Amino acid sequence: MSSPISPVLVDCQALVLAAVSDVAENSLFAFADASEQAAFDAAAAAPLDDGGSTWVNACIDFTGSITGRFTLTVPEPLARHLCAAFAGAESADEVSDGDFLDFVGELANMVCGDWLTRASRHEAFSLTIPRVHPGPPDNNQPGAAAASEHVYLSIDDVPIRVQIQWGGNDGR
Amino acid sequence: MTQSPGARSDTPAGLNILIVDDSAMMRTMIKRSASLTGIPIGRIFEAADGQEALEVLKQQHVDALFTDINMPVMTGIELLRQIAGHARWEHMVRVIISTDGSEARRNEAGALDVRFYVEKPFRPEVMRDVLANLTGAR
Repeated sequence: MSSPISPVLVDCQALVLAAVSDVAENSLFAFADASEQAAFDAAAAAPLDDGGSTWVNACIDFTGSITGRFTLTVPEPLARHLCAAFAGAESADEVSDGDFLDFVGELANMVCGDWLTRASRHEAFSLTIPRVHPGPPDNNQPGAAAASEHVYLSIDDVPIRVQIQWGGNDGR
Repeated sequence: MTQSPGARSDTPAGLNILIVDDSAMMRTMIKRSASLTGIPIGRIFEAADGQEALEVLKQQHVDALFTDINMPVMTGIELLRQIAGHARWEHMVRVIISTDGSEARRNEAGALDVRFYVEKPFRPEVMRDVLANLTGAR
């Protein structure tokens, strides 16, 4: 069975890591690294009263020679910390909920755009406006013709995840 | 003070800039980066999409336009198309700040008189370099 993934995205894991690192280091004063699914799953499963946290997801649909959905999932405390760094605020308490959600969408937008530019420098992609929703980590249900790839990373040693669901249209 | 459309602002010492981005946080970050450059800034206007930006441009004098591409209502590329060829905005420097760094988009922007193309994410020093170039080039 042939892979639905474009040849330019064979090294998807490395390209996503490079994109997250670029955003973290240039805009957030943070450090990104590769991580393991086990670390993410453990963090996601941890009870709130035992070191766990709430989460926030941001989804963007992209269209071009490859088409799909990009979903960034981060724990809310980390996202609020990064938001404060981005805004130049002294602490996360200074950032309103509205600005926080706006930031998470922009974070996903920067990472997705950076990744797509790395994946295919020659062509432009169309991206939807980010959809941000707090809640447990999204687990996209594969569609009829879709496949998905999960990239497990950390920012400042806190697990995060990027999920890419390849679209099933003929743009691939 | 009432300003006629296109009139010079009451702060002639610095560049008047318009920041167009649907993310309020990104607009704040760009403003902060601009303020850290030490380069004199006049008035800073904001718009959340290309349509809002057009309304600002009709009312205010803007020296430099910093626009995102991917926005609701009217994209940055559509905005640039709308103002292209108008003598009123001929002097205005166009700068794109976008996550889309593809050659195709850069070429599209170049055809619309975009002088600088800044890829997100960017360091504040990039804004300093752009503004320094603008003040020297005006």
